[in-house]
Amino acid sequence: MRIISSALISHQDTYKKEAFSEVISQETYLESVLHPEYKDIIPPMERRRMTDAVKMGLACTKACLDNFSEITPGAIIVGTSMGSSAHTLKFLDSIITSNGGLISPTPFIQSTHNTIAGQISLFLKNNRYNNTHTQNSLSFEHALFDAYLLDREGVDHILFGSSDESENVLFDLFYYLRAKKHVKKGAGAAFFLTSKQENTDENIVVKSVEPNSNVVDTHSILSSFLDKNEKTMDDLDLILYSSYSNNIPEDLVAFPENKLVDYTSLCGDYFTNSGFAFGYAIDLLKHRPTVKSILVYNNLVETNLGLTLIEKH
Amino acid sequence: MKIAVTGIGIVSGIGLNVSENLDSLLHGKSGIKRSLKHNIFLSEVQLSDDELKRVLGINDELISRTNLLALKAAAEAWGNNTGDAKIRTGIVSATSLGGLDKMEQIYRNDFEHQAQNSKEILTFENGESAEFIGKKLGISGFIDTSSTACSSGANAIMYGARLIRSGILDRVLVGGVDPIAEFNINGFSSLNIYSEKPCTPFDENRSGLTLGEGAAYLVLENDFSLERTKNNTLCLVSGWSNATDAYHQTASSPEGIGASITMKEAIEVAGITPDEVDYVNAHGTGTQNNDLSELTALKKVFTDKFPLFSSTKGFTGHTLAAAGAIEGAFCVLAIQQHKVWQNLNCIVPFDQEHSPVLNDPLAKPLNHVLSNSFGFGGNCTSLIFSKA
Repeated sequence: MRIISSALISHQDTYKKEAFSEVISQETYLESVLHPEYKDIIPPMERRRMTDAVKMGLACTKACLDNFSEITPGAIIVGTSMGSSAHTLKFLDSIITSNGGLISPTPFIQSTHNTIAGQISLFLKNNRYNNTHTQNSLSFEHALFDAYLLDREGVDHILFGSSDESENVLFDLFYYLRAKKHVKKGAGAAFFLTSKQENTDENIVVKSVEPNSNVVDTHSILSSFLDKNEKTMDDLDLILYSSYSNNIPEDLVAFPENKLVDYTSLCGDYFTNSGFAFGYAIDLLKHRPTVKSILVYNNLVETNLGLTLIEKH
Repeated sequence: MKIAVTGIGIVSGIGLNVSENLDSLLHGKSGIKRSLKHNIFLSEVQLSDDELKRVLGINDELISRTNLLALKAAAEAWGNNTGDAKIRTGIVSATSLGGLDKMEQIYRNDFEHQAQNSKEILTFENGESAEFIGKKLGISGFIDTSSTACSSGANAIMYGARLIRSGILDRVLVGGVDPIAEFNINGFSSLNIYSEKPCTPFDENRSGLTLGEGAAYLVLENDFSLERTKNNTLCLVSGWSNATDAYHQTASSPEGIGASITMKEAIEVAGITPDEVDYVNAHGTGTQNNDLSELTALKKVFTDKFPLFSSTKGFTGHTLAAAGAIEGAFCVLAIQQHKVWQNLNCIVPFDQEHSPVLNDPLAKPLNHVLSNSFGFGGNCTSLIFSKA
């Protein structure tokens, strides 16, 4: 499956920034998401009702299609862990404070996880396949997997990605309970467009993606993933990883440290930050001639392992 | 390639297992009652959280109702299946609330202080119930949750079927769950969408939906898996499609754009003609908007021979993300029992020429049954179940 366009909104200056991978570092990490000017993209009435997760999704959609205005996406697929969590909490608040009185339905309507994908379909007036995957730290990988399946089924120009917003109360508690120390709390969106048409010169291709839940032994999953793709660790030019502990995962300690990137340190910790890693990998493949094969190793949650192999041909 | 349904499990307002649900369908027994607590009509599962825990042998204090309902139905569907390293097995579940029912309880009381000491907050994550079922039934690896509001359960079945057809999995547990919680009770109330009596799908005087809760799961298998498990095939999943209305965030287009696309495509995937569909289990929520839009779409798709149709929401209420799965399981039962389920509470059909099945379940051999599920965001999904 070939990726022809991508867009990222993150805690870094990534939106519509070609070759951002050559510029960003832990030092350029911003305290909050660097949002684009939504007023140029979304009409004011709609914009007021939308949460960040929806706005980021729409802005990324627009950026993905900027150079492909003639394309009608054959499918829209979104991965989100929390959806519009800000509206979920807002609606809970209004239930409590209203004491049985009238409450506004807007936060309820906007709180469903598929509001992002639904609003994209409305934005594009798109009647095609539309799905939302919500699987913890593997929500992005499942959206990518769905796209990969659809591509095999013959669907062209699939728009897929992930979006998660930061909501302070929820996030603070999540991190407290996961007992993670010194994390940067992140948020962001990452969207991509596929094509079945091969380019004459260079192509960015998703070779394989594998989301695994309830995992006990990550090592054997990694080896069998590499075997299936006829790869050894030596064939990989870079591994972008996230880890549930603050250390380099044991599976990767033998890999040269200068070829390992802890992507959570670049984009912050949130359940769909592998979407950022995927976009970062694509930008690296496009702009660094020596890098031809990248593995995204997502072990943000101890029992979940997402493996994605992206290559340049 | 054949995709066999080899197990089903249901928990809903009309029964705690498949045989109780079947009995209610056969005898026209609705699960909708006026809730004294909430003063609206609801179709509730007749077991408290504590009773569900006892039935399931679970002692965890912190477990959400979502997880309990999901496990109840999933364990019944899974039955005597066991882990088999050679059979690539996965789960595709569906929920719109996740563990929000548990979270909202603590949110009321000094949220930040209390939650620091409890794990309830973690149940908020929408994929948690799928992982939970997996842990309890010994399934790991491919575990996914579809969340497309009221079409989620149907999308989970569709996705499971696609995973098998593409050769990714040999066996997959698919289904959906949603509990009744303050969040969705108040949500639909804020939309002013409740029927003042038990919902009356396709009736001239229909005035809204009735909220329900429950879960249903189905086991899907390919031939390779069947050879090893020796399970009986109940029926086949033969067609599926998902399309989008792209009309409005909550309302359906009057022309039923998304609904007609998805029905046509599902029929195409099944490799049949519209004339071969014997029965349509409609989404039929009982709102003015949905039923009109859905019937318009049905008339567009079935131009030569109009199929028998009914909504079973007069039995179970609208169970949101579980609806597509519960109604999918009802389609399996319809094929097995040679019965078209009746559409409860419809006195005067709003379109006299296109009336749902009104009285007792209608005896009829069924080769192909179509099930519709539509959700917020204009999400439309159709599934086709066929006789094996």
